[in-house]
Amino acid sequence: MTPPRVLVAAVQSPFSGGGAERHVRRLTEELVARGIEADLVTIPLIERTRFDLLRSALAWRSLDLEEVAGRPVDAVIATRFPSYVVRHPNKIAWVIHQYRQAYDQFGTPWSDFSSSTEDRRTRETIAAVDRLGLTESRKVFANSRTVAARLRRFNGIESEPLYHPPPLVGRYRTGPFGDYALTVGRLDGWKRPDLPLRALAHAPAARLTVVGQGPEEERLKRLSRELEIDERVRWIPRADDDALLDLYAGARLVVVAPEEEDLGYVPLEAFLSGKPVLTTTDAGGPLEFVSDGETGFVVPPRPEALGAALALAWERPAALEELGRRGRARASQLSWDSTIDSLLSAARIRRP
Amino acid sequence: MTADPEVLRQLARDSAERLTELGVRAGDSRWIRTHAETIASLAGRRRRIGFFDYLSRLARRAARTAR
Repeated sequence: MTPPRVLVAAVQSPFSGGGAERHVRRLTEELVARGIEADLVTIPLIERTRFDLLRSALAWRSLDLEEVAGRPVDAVIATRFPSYVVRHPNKIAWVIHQYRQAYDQFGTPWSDFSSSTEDRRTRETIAAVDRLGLTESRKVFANSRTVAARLRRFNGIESEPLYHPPPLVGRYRTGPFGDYALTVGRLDGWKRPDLPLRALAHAPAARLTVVGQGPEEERLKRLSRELEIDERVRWIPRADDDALLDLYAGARLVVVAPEEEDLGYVPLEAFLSGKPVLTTTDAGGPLEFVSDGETGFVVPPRPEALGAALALAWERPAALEELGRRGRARASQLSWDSTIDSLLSAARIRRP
Repeated sequence: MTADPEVLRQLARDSAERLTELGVRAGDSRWIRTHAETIASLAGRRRRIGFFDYLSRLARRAARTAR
């Protein structure tokens, strides 16, 4: 029997491969591992001018993936703006996130869209692209409830949250609770990397390890000196997979500070390493997994509040083990098996 | 080497329709102009000006007759 053929449509960000790129590669591998003939199709998203966004959408729309190399393609799984406007009669959208600058980030410092006529028309066109691509999909999944809520709020589109395990699933391990809180992620303003640092100023015994790099790095290092916490902060710009697994395994707890995160792998990685998560009431996706007092701490997004939780973690470390154990049980429920089953079932494809 | 004018016309017609599908309107003159320039850049130097006018008209017409 010929295996079903599925193409994963993904947007590429040249020279800055991040979590989304890794995710679509893994999705393709997981399909292949289950006997599907799967491959990845990518087109770069260029954002130099407003018209470039439209040009990228046009490039996707100009593609018809119904047949490749003389054989039909049974389904396309499209993941990010604007890949879901690609033409295929059996298209499934699994929205990792929308073009957030045009939606929930509009009007915040994290969006460079102004109220000019061109920017307004660009935002309208982005919404038109989303509407076109998603309403003609056989089924729309969202990466998380947070992403699904945005699709409903801004586009009136219903979608089903579909979770998946973090990138190194199967390799995370637990370890003794060490003497540092851990943050992992790109040092971008909207990720609020300054919040854990400011919190440290309110928890004199706590230490922090920051894994990541980005445009905020120098400013953050300056901030840690100003706050006189620099001796308690360790900076690790890059960590390979093994190093990251070690860092999770040895942490006391993991701090997740971004506002309105789409899903966020970090809480799941922390849980699979048996560590509780400290996050904020406005974190978005992480709140779908982190429950206050059950698997971690959920506090208002203020340095004093995070600092109080950190202080507690250093004063009463015994409680952390149980929180981490519950988190591990929660995250262990996620599997690629059930994720792939949902996608294939929506595409009416039977697993070989 | 220059692209076949008929192939370019076909490309222009198709992409003008696609632009309209994506929400571009007749009033989005800067975008239509940029798109026309993109396709016209495939034509030879001598043909480029004529193509540009042709493509702009085509894109505007497609946008006017949008759903």
